Amino acid sequence: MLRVTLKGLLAHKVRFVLTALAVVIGVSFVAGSFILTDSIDDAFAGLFEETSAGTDLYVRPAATVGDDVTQSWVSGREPLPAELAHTVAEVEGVAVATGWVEGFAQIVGPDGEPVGGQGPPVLGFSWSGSGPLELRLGREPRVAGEVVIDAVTAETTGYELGDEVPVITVSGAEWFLLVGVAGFGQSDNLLGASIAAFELEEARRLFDKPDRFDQIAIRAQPGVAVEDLRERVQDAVAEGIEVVTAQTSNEEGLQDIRGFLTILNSALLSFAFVAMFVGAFIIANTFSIVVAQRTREFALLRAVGASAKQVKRAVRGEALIVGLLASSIGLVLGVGFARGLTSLLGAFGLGIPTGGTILAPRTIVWSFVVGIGVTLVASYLPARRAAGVAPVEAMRGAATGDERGLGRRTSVGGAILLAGLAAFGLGAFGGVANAALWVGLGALVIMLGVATLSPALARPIAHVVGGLPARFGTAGKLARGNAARDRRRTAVTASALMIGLALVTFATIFAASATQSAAASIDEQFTADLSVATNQPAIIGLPPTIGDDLEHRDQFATVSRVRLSTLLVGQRTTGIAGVEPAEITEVVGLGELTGDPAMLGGPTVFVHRELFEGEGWQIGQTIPVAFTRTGEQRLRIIGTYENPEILGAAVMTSLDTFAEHVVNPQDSFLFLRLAPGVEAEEARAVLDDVLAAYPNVEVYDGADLRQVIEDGVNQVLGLMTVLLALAILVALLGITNTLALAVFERTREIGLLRAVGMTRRQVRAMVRWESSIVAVFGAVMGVAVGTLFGWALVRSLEDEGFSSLVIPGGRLVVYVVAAALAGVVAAAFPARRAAKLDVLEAVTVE
Amino acid sequence: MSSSPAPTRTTTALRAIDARKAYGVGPHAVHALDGVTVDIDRGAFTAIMGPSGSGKSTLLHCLAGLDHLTSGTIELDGTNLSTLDDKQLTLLRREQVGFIFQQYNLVPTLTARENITLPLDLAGRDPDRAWLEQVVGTLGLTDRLSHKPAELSGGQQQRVAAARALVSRPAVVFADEPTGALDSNSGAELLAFLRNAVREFGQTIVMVSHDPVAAAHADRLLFLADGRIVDEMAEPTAERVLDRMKRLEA
Repeated sequence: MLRVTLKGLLAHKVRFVLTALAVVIGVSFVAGSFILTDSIDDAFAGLFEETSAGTDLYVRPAATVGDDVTQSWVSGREPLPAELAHTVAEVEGVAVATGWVEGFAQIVGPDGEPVGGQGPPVLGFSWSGSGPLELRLGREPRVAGEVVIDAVTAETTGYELGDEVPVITVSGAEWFLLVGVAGFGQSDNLLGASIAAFELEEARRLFDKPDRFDQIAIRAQPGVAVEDLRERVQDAVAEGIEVVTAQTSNEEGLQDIRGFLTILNSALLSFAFVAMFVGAFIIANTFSIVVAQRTREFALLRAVGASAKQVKRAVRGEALIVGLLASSIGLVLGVGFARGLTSLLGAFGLGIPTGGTILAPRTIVWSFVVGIGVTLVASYLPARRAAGVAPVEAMRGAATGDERGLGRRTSVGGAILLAGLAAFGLGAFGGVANAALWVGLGALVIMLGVATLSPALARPIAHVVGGLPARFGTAGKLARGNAARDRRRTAVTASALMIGLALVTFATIFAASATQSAAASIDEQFTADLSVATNQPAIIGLPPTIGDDLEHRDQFATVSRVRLSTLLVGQRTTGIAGVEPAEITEVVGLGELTGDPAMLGGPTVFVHRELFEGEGWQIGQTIPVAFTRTGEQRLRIIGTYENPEILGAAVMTSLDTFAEHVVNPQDSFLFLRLAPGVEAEEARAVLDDVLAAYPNVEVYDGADLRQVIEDGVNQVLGLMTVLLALAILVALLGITNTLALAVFERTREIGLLRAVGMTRRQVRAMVRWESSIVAVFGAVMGVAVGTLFGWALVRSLEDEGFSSLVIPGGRLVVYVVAAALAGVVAAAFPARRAAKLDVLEAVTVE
Repeated sequence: MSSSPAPTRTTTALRAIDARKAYGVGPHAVHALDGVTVDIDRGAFTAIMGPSGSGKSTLLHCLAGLDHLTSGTIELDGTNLSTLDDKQLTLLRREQVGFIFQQYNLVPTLTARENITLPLDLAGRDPDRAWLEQVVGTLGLTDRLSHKPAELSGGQQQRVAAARALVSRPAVVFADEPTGALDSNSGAELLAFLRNAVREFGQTIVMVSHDPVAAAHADRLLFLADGRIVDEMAEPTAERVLDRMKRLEA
């Protein structure tokens, strides 16, 4: 029977290439996701190793509130006293102890635009000589006013040694003489982050860390056990300072990266899952059509003595070989796919570094398990049907058409659909734990249910959709008839397309609603006329001199400052804002208030209502909190507010109280109200003038803010659409496949049509119209199901800020039209085959 | 093609001149048609008979523009078929030729009526209503027009095919074993109708058959053997045909 299997495959090369293609795409998606994340992981592991080369121990401030190991300058860890470097250098077994400071340093290009913008980190270091920075050109910075930058930034900006380079730090924007260009170990920069390095005292001034070190790197003397040394150094330093091995430090860094990689991998794999899910439909459909067409062949095999089991095995064998071949090809293509994903993510502003290509054994195993598994599962029913062919059918004519009733199928489909709706509804509205899982599972089952029910829809929908082509002439009318001919086949083909379009539709509705809701809340909350902030307000603030300057300008009636930091409440890290009590309600729409924010002062706070209710606090209650610098404190709640979004903080206190507890000499935001009669343009001209020296500072109003949010949402939507496009591509391949098989099956009929006067052009039109009808059928189901998902989820998130439900009808219509056009493209190959059929051969074929 | 009025509308509807068809080349070539020259009269019912492999199907296919000659000429209503490309041949089949095959004559997704008007629909032409009704009525299909082929008997299906072949008033209707898949009653009905179409409407019909009873309905019978016309008979009867065939095979 092996020979029957192989012959079966060889006899129908085209159809199996098309089937295999569906598996190839899915598997390369799976393999690509693993390869990509493994490669990033590897790149970072190599980087950390390089960073810590020659270092055995790190001395650093112990973690405090809301700490982020990789971004210590954000967290506000109190830096180490400078003399600590001498103290630890004295410890027995320490060979060298080198301290450094680090901070925010954004290089400004010759065009006046800050390098990096809101993208990768912009890092500043003191030049320590022994660190991972290696000079490529020039020399190290020796005195104040000199800078060394990384090779990539030097390349992109075109700065050369001897140029004056502007760099923004927390101390403002200053010009520095470029004296050197450095690489980060072997790499040209730190995985996309820009680097500026200064002489130590200069760096301390720029980063506002006088007589401090952020960390001290220790190299042990030869032969000294690192763990013993770590304990000795730990004993020598004060409380609140920790000593860790380089290995621990690297692992902490990797841990952060891995958290991100796990999320990225799961996200990519879920798209891969969708593509495979769609692929399973295509495979199942191809195998059932092929089995139907080979009924006589199977009957003949049975008649000459093959057992039902052997026939089943022959079909499964075909599936196994297809799965095996397709998985191997998919795995190989996965390498290219990983690269494609990297540039795709890069194109959407999510640039991620990669080093070499890592093909882990797990990737190989999963590729084959998924590829072969899906093929075998999808061919399960067709194989059973093949085995059920009675030997006597060898004597009968080829049975075509599909007049088997759909009764049972419809009731089963209905039951599946109801189960899916129940799970989905429970997740969306039922308030169950793991809501997202219920929603996802429900969505999957709903799609299965609709796919099962869809044959019952095939004829009515084909009739309606086919109304248009039928008007264009006989080719269109025949196409309509052909689409309605085999309901199961048409429906399954369309269902594969439905899945991708349902998800795109859902994402579109969700994004439109999110944008609209955000716009509404900005209109409500952004009550200032203008706002001023840096391009990275979470990392670097505005020098207070900007606010001082603006306060003296006649154009502005109000200049209200807001400063941000983090605060530990219970076990939770949350944002705290320092505000000007008398002005805050004037410039920020805080929504419904309890109490009067103007009363803020001393150890009192306002709290976001949700947090307040969640913790079960009372007005007047004193709560324990912890600040980064001053540690545990007690604050009294004197009111609540509804909207935390513009502030970006769930706790609000007076600027004076804030300044007592937080090391942040900078304003995060300035909110401005114009003086009566002043036009926005005039005010902006004044601001441009004041801010000329700060290229990283931006001025925006409510409309700009809405635009930023819209751009962000659209970016994510675009990325999702591109990733889902693969599932749609697989579905289109399915249309191609089904039509190619149908053309083969209808050879006699096409011959007849040609004999009685159908031109090749009309034959092509007939196949293309059929394809478009099937595609529109799938698209209509997809848009309907996706709209249901979108509607339900947006409504269920009403309390989470989704105030508006937007169903962009025009856009959804575009999807359906695009599907029709894609159908034409998918039909290109079968249409050409059909038109090329030799009339005489076709009419004389048995 | 047919747009220019034929100035010399002869009595010849179809003409083959030294028609040859060979498969393969050189000494191993098989000559399916080996120099057939024949004139087929307008308004006549011509039957072609011959044993299996005599080339009768090939001749029919070549006469109808479904197949190409290796050499020689076919003229259909004054048009030399070998000068036409695929598109022109298709349009010729649509306008000038009607077909009745042995089986699978109908498009299963179309109703009987749609099948009948298919060549006209493909041309984007409206059927001549009176003519359509007359053809349909004569064939006894009036109450079957909205049925799909699967709902029709074999005889009815062949009659629908016959109606389709006639409805565009083609120059020639080609019938390839039209009764081959029918029981004798249905077959006789169909042949009687074809006979009538010739007599009453002046339709030219060329039929290939191996059945002497079917051939006996023709005005003229051509005998084909080894790719050549070896004999012919006017006003054949079944008995004479059988006789002649015995002699030919002897």
